[in-house]
Amino acid sequence: MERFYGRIETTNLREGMGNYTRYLATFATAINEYEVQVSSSSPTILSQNAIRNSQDVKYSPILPAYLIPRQEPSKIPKTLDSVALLFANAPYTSLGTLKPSLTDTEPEGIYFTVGLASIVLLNFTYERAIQLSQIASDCLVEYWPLKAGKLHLQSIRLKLPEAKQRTPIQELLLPLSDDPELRVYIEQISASLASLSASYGVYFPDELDTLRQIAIQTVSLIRIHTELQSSLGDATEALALQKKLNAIRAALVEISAALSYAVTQGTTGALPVLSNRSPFPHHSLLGIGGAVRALTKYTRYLENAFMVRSAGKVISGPYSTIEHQMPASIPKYASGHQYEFPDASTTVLEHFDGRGDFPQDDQLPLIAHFSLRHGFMESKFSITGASEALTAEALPHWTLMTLSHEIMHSRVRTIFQALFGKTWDGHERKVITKEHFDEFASWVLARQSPKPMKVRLSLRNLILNFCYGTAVSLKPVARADVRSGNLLSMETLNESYARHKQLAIEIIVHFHDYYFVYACQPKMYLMSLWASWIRVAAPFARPLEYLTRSLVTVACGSGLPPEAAFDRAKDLILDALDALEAGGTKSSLFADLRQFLSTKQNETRARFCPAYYLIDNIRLFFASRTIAAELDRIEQDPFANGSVSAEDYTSNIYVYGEGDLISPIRYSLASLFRTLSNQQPIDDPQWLSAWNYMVISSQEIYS
Amino acid sequence: MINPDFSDRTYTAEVIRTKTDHLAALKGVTQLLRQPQPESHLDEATSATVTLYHGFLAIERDFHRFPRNVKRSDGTEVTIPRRIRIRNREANLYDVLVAQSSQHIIVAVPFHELAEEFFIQVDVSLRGLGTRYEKLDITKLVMQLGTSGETSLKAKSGDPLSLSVTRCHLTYVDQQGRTSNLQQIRMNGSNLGVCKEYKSLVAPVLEPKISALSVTPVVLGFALCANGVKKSSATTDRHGNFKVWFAPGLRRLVRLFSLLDALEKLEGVTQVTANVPILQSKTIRDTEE
Repeated sequence: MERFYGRIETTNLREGMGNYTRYLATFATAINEYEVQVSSSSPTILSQNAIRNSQDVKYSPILPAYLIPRQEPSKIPKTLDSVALLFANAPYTSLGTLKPSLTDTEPEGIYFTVGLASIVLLNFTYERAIQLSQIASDCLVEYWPLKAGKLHLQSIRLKLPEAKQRTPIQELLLPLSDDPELRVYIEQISASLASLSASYGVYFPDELDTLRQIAIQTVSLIRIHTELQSSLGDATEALALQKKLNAIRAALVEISAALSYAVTQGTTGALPVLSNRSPFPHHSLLGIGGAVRALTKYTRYLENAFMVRSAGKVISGPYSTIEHQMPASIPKYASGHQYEFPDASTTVLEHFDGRGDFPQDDQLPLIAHFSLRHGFMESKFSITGASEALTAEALPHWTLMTLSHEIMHSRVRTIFQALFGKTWDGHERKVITKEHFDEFASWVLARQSPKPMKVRLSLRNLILNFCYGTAVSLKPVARADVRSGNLLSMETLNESYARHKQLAIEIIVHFHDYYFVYACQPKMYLMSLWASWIRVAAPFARPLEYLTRSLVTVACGSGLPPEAAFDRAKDLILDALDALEAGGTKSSLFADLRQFLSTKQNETRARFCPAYYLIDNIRLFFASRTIAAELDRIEQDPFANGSVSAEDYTSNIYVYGEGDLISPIRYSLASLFRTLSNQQPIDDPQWLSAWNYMVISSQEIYS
Repeated sequence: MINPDFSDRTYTAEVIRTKTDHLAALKGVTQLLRQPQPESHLDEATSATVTLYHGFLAIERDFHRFPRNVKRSDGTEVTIPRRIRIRNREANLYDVLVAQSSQHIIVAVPFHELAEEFFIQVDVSLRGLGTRYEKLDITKLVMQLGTSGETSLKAKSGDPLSLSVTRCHLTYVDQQGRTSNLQQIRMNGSNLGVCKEYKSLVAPVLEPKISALSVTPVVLGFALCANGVKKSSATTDRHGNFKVWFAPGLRRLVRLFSLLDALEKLEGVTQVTANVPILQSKTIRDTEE
C-alpha cells in the first residue's frame, strides 16, 4: 500500500461546493434545562421541528473559522460536550492571534458568528477556553458544560468583565420637561441611552462618544422646543412656530426610533446569552451585535474620512472668495484640460484641497442598524442596511457597498445646504429665492461674454442650469416657437428646480460614490450599480434616467467633449452588462438599456448632455485627494498592495487579522468584485457575509 | 551533491520561523515528501550548520509546460519530470527543497501553482507547533537602503558585506485624478542603486510629499555581496513570498540563511505572520508571468 505522504490528491472536488454554515440551537426542555444542538442542515428544519414538538427554539448561524483551501469544512462533532462563547470585540484579529497557539485538532472546533459572542468553541475544556480567551484579547466567556447534550442553567460558567468604576457620561443625562409630549420622547431616549451606554461600555466602547453626541443634539432640540413653545402665543408667527415645533418633534421621534433599534439589535446576544432574544428570529440565540458593529464601523470610517475636509466650510470659505468662469451654455460645453494627468514631479492641489485646512468640527454620527422595512436607507440621524444583507451581504444586491451610496447622500445634503441655504426645519428649500433667480438670470444673459464669478455662486448656477437644461431636454421647444425676447421666468426656473433637483442630488451622490468609494473603477462601478438596480422597481419604470445617471458618472473627469465622453461611457456600460451576464446576473432590463444605446441613442444623448455638464463640473470642485487618501489607506491596508484596484486586493477567507487597519471600503469592494466575477472561493453566501461582517467589525477605525 | 531536476527554474519559497522545536517542524515538512534525501552543509558566512532535504511530490496534474530529456552527470538520460505509478495512477515527480538552519526552515518548489497547493499542506502539517512565516517590510527596506539602494553590513566573521537592490516593482496611484494612466514600473538589474533612474523612481517612496502620485514598492529583489561578489539573492513581496534561483549544487540555498541574517540586522524590516504567504501571492506571481 502506497503511503499518502508525498502525494497531493487531485480529486475533482470543486472548491467550495458545499454548505459551510452550521447552526447552534437551543431547545427549552424544562424550566432550567436546554437541549443544545449543532446542525448543518437547513435552519428551516430546526424551526419546523420546534413547531411539531411545541418547543421554544433559539438558533444562530455559526461558521467554521479555519477553512483550508480546496477542502470541505470539518464535519460537526458527533457528540457535543461543551460550548464556549467568546465575546471578542475584534474577532478577526483574535482568530489571527489564536491561530499559531492552537493544537493540530483545535481549529476544527472553532467557529465565528455575527453576534456579540463572536467566537464559539465546541468541545473545549473550561480551562482551555479561558486560556484561549486570554490570548484573544482577554475577552469575556460564557461556558456551557453539557451532559448528554443537555445544558442546566446552574452549570453555566462565566468569565465576567473586571468590575471597573466607570465615570458616568454627564451629557447622557437629559433635562426633564413639563411638556407631556416631550416627556414621552425624553423617557424613550433616556431609556435607550441607559441600555446602550451599559452595553457599549463592555462590547463597543468606541461608540460611547456617539451616544454623547446624540444626547447633546437631543438636549439642544429640547431646549429650542421649550423656547419656541413659550413664544407660541404670538399669533403672527404661530403657524411658522408650529411648523418648527413639529419638525423638532419629528427629529426627536427619529432619534428615539434609531436608538431603540440600536438597543434591540446591538445589545441582544450579550452575556448571559440565554437571558435575551434577538429581534431577528433567524439569529435568535446569539443576536446580530457583531453585524451591527460592522455596519457602524463601516459608516464611521466613511464619516471620519469626510470629516478631514468639511464641504460646508470649503463652500462658505474659499469657494465664497475665489472666482471661476463656469460655462453657462450646456450645448457648447466641452470638458477639457483640467483633467490632464498630473506631472508626477508637481503637486497641484485640487480646488477642494487648497487654501488651508478645513476639518469638520461637528458631525452627528449616524446610528446604524438593519431594517426589514427600509432596506438600505439614510436619514438625518440613522442609516439602515437591508435585513437581507444579514444572510446574503455577499450577493451583489445586498452588498455593504450600497451603504456608501446612502452615506454620500448625507454629504451631498451638506453641499446643498451650503449652496442654497436651509430652512430651520432642516428641509432644503423646494424652491429658489428671488436672489438666486436674479443671480442666475444675469449669469445666463452674460453667457456670450462670461465673466469669472465666485465659485459658490457658480456652483449654484450650475445646478439650476442643469435642472433647466434637463427640463428642456425632456420637452424640447420647437424651433419655430423660439422668439427673441422670451426670457426665462422665475416660475419656470422654480418648476425646473423643484422637478429635477432630486436628479441633480442623485448625480452628485454618484460622483462622490464613484470618485471616493469606487476610486473611479468604471466597469466595477457599472456592474455594481446594475446588479443592484435590477432588483428594484424604479430603474424598470425610468430606465433612461438610471442609464443616464450611470453613463455620466463614468464619463465625468475624462476630459472628453460630450460626444466622445458618451461613446466611451457607452462602451463601458456595454462591457459591464456583458460581464454581468457572463457571471450569471441577467435581467430583461438589459435589453432595454442596449436599445437606448443603439436605436434610441439620440434620446439618450439628449439626456446625457446636461447631466454630463453637471457632474463634470462638480467633479472639478469636489474631488479631493486628501479625502481619497483617508479612504484608500494604501500604505496601511495589508491587502492593498499599493493599489486601489479591487482586482489587486489580496484579502481572502484563509487570511486572518494581525492588527493592521483594513479599509472597510476597499475590503467590501474587493469582495463584491469577487462575487461579480464569479471568483468567490466558496459557494455559501451566508458564510461569506458573516466573514465580511467579522472582518469589518474588527477594525480599529476610531483613532 | 543535490542536483534537482528543475534546477533551471526560479523556485517559489517561504521562510518558516519555528517557535521552539525546529526538529518537529522539520519532520512535519519532510514527512510530506517522497524519497527525502538529507545533506548537511556549513554556511561559510555564518558558520552555522544547514540541513538540506531534497525530495519529491507525486502529483497527477501537470505544472510543467512540456516534458524534456536531460542528460545527467553519469551520462544517463532522464525525462523531466520523472513519472511514478501510484495506485494504478500516473503521477509527476516534482522537486521539493527544504533547508533548515537554527530556527529558520526554507521550503521551495519549482512552480508557483504547485506552491499554492503544497504550502497549504505544509501549514496544516505544522499545526500545533506555533510556527510563523517571515516577511519583509519592503517599504522600510527601500527607505533604509535609500537612494543608493545599498547598505554595508558585517558578517558574523567580521567580513564586510553589502546588501543591494536587484529588482524593484513600484505601484502608482493617482489619488487626485483617480486615473490609471500609470500603474506600475518594474526595474531589474544587478545593482539598481548605481543608476540615476532608481534614485529618481524611489524618491517619492522616501519622501511622499514630492509626488502627486502615491508610490509603493510591492516587489523587491536584493542580493548579498561580499567583496563585490554576489553570494545570494532573492525577490520578495509584502506577504512573505520569495522567488529564488538556486542552480545545481544548491549553494545559493545554503547562503540564503546569511541573507536572512543580514536582513534581520536591519531595524524593523523583518516581521512574522501566522498567515500562509502563498495565499496572498498575486503580485509576485504576476511578476513571474
